[in-house]
Amino acid sequence: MLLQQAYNGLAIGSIYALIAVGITLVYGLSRIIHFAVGELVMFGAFTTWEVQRLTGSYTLGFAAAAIVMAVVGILTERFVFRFTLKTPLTGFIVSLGLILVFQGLAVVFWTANTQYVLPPLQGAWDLGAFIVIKQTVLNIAIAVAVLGLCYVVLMHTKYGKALRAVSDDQGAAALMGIPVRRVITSAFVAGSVLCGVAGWLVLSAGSISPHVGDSYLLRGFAVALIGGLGSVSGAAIAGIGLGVAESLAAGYVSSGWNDAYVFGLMIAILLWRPTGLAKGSEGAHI
Amino acid sequence: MSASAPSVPAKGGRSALPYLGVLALGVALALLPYAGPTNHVVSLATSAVIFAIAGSGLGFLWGQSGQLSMAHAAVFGLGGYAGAITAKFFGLSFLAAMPVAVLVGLVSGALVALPSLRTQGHYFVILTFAIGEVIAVVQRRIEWLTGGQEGISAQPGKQVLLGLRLANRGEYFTLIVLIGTAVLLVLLLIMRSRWGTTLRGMRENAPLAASLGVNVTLNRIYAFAISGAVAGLAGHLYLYQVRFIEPNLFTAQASIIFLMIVLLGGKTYLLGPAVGAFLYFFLSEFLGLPPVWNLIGFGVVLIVMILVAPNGILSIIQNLVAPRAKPNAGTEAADKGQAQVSDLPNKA
Repeated sequence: MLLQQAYNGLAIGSIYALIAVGITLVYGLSRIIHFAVGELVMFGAFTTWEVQRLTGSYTLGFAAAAIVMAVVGILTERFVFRFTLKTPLTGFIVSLGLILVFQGLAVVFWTANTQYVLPPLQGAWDLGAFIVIKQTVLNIAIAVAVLGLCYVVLMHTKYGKALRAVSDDQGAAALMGIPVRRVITSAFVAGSVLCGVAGWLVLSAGSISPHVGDSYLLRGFAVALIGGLGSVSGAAIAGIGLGVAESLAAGYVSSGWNDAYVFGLMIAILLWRPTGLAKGSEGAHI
Repeated sequence: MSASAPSVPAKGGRSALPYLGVLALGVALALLPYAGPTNHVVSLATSAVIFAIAGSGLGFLWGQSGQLSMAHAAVFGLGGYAGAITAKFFGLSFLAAMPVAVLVGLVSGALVALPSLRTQGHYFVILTFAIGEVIAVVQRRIEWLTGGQEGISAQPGKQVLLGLRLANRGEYFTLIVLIGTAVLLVLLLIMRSRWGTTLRGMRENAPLAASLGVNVTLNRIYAFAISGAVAGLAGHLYLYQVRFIEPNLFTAQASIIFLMIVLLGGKTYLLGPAVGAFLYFFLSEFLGLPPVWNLIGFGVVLIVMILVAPNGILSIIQNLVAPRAKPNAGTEAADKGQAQVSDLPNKA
């Protein structure tokens, strides 16, 4: 029971971690709290579903989700968030407007009904007391691969260095010849793609609706805040931690109060450590 | 963002004119049902007035003290639940439950403010979101008290207040317009008081205000309490309009609607939220679009408003009626995306 719940938590936590890293990248570069990420996750899920329905391929769906979200990332940055870089609170309010727009569009395209989907991988391995659903292994593997890629890009490439430099000090980065604007745009693209990938993983839950992003939005932010806004590794660790904690609480106490545990935990941690658990947050770093 | 915002509607010093203006507007609006509108218009106008009252609470908080709460809809809901629960368990009337709803709003508003002792900026706004979600979960789960997902109802029955029957839609409208007018007069009194000036001082520069001996934390909590009390009252009025409430009415999306209403009218103006609320309800009716397209439309309105006219429609009207030099025209041009890299914030 304990192991099982912990493992389930790991699987769900890997989705939180992806979203939280997306949030943190956007925040680290632009100081904007992008609250429409739940809708990005939802769009990722629906794009996958749509492509899978047409072609029967989840792999194509994955690619489509990533590409569509990259385009959404560019469009939202170019046409909306670019104008709010000077006043990040305005950016936050703009993202609230985007929530209404995105949710409305999803209802127009796909109706407000819940759509039932089959996970890409079906079946499970029964290890006696411990059941491993195949899809969850795939989810964890994808999350680890994607987050690992983020780590390598951030730490070991010239682009990653530029990203960290812009996050640290935009003025100085610009003086060093870093194209600040383009780097910020790329952070929006990367953040949106991460949410799109998370949307693909969300499909494995078996059903999606235009409101599927709501619970992931606040969990993603809970994780990003607990890990310390702007901290990529903090987000990854806090994501898994929150998933496991939530799963254990659901298994041992009651799952009806799940949201209350998650947000209660987040409120408590933030009151204890107002800038998150990770040391020296604020700004994208590892 | 709000540096150039005109603080109080009129700079008339101790003039009684603004009070008389609000009173006259309120009385005129209260007479609307006697002009023979359809039931549908009365029902829309009732919703608009209730959202205007709740929005005025948020507008006071955001426009005057500069704090934004995303738990406003949750506090609004708590006011409604307070009315419904006291009616169900203790048989309290509309009037008797009203102070309870106000008190519940006041206390929960102040509680929402408590995290601001430790957290600031983005962290605080998101915390208010989380607090709102926790309140929604509690409303959903404590079924013996709130009816859970099923909700809880309250009936006006044969209650009469100020000679107006609660069960009659038109008379109820008149009643809540009178209550709303009283709320606006109290808010105006607060905004024009010395304490109102202190609050705006904190909004512009909290550290400076603190250095002058202002207790920023305590004043912030007071502002939240006032805003919560107004929201709680509005929630109670809402209960007797819809006569049935359930947790899904008071989610984060409702908070976004309140925010949009305040932003649309103008957050620093007393009448801003009221203008926003009437536009919100009547514009969607006038355009006759399906609800989904309304939602999309208002999302677009929200984005365009904050980018183009962050001080709301009333600021546009004010500039048209009495044009004046913009004190910080330079930064506004920069806001439109022409900023140089060196203008960008280094650290938030």
